[in-house]
Amino acid sequence: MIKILAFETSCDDTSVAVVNSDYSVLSNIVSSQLKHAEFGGVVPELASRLHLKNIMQVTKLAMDQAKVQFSDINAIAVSVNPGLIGSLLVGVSFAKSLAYSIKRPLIAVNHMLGHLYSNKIDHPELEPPFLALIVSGGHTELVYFHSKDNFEIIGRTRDDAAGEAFDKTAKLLELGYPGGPIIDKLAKKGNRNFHRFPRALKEKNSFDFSFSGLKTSIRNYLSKQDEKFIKVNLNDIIASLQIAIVESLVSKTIRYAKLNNINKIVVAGGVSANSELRKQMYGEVSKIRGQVYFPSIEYCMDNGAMIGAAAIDKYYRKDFADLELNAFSKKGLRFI
Amino acid sequence: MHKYKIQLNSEIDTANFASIFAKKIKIGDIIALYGDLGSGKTFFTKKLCKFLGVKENVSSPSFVILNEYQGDYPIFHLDLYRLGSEEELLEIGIFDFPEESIIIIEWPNIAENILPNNTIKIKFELTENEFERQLSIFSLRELNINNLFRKEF
Repeated sequence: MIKILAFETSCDDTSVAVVNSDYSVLSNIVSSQLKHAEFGGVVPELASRLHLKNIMQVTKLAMDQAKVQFSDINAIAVSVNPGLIGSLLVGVSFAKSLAYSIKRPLIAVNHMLGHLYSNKIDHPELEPPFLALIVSGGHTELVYFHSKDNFEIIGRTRDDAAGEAFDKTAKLLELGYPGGPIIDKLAKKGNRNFHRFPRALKEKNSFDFSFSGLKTSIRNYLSKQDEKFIKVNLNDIIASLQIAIVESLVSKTIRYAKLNNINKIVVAGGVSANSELRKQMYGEVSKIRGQVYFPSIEYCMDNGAMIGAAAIDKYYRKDFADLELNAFSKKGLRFI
Repeated sequence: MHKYKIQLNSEIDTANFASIFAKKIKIGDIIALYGDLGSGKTFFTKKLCKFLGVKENVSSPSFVILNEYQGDYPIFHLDLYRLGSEEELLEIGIFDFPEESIIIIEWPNIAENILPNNTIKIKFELTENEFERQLSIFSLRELNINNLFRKEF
C-alpha cells in the first residue's frame, strides 16, 4: 500500500495527514482542533509564523497517530494554491525540504481540487463525469468535470463567496464568528419562510453567484424593525437568510444539471457542512433521480487528508513536482 | 491634503465614478477604502479594476486576504478584515509589493500607522436611502474630481 504524507497550510490551519492509496486515512491532524495546551495556550491563527511553529509538531502527531516512520512514506503532497501566500509558503518549503531529505517524490496539489477529493475518502469509487459545487469561505465555484483532467468552470461568485456571506451576515446580526456554524445551529429553530430575502442573479444564461447584495438587503430589513422584533424573531430571520444563500447554490446547480442531463453531483468545501444545504441538495437531486455526494463533516474544512487523497492519482501518473516548486496565491483551479 | 465629497445614487453612479477615478490613478498608488459591511468597497474595486484593464472577475478577498490581478499594471487587492494586529500584518509580509503596482486595501484600519502619507483614502458611508453612498476622498495629490459629481442628478 502506497502511503502519502500530506500538508495543507493555505489559510488559518496547519494540517498534516497520512493517507493510503486506497483513500483510507491513517491520520489527519488539524491544528485548530488540538487542545490549546498543546500549543502553550495559543490558538493557531492566521500568521505564517504560527504555521511555522505548528508544522513540526503537527507532522509528528500525524506520523505517530498513523504509526508510520519516514521510511514508510512513499510520497509527500502539499497544497500550493490558492491561498494566503505566506501561509502556503510554509507548507511548500517544509514539504520540499522533507521530500529532498528523505528522497521521496513531491506532489503539488491545488487546494480546491483537494476539497473535491475529500469526497473520495468516503467514496473511493467516485469518478467523473460529475458536476461539482465547491463552496467555502473563499470560494464558490460550479465546475463540470468531463474527466479528472478536463474540467470547465460553469459559474463562480461575482463578489462574496458563500461562506463569506454566512460570516458577514452573521456579523450584521451580531452573532459572532465564524458565522456558518452559528447560523446553521440557530436556523434549525427558525421558520425559513418568515421573510423572503432576495436570490441574486436569476438570469437564465448565467450560472454565476452573487451574495454581496444580501448584506444590503439584511441591513435594510433590520433597520426597518425594532430591536424587540429582531430579538423575538431572530431564529426565523436567520433561517430565512440561510435559505436565501442555500437556494441560490442549489437552484443553479440543479438547473445546470437538468439542462445537461447530469445526474451525478459532488459538493465540497467548508460550506458543504451546512445542514440546510445538504437537506435541500438531497431533496432536489432525488427529484432528478440523481446522486449527490458530500464529504464527511470532518473533511469539509481545510484538512491534510484531502490533499493526500488528491495526490494519489498524481502519484500513479508520476506527475511529480521538482524542488523549484513555488506557492502562489492565485485563485481558481486552473493552474495545477 | 485635498478633500472631495461625492454622492453616488446607484451602482451605475459608482461604476461611472470608478471609470473617472481610474484615470486619476498613477502607478505606485495605494488606495485605502474605509466603510461598513456592504457599503460598496468591493463593488467599487471591481469596477475600478475593470477600468484599469483587468479582464478577469474581481471578487472579495476577505477570506484569502490578498488577490493579485494583472491589468494595465499589477494590482494587489487586499482585505485586512480578518487580521488581528499590525504585527500580524508585517509578519505576513503584506507590504512587500513591487513599487510598480497599484495597491487597493479594504478594511485598512489596522494598517493606519504604516500607510504612507500619499495613500489615497476613500470613506464609504451609507445613508437612509438603500442605494445611496456618500464618499469622502482624501489625497495629497490634486485629483480634480470635485466638479464631476454634484449632489443633484
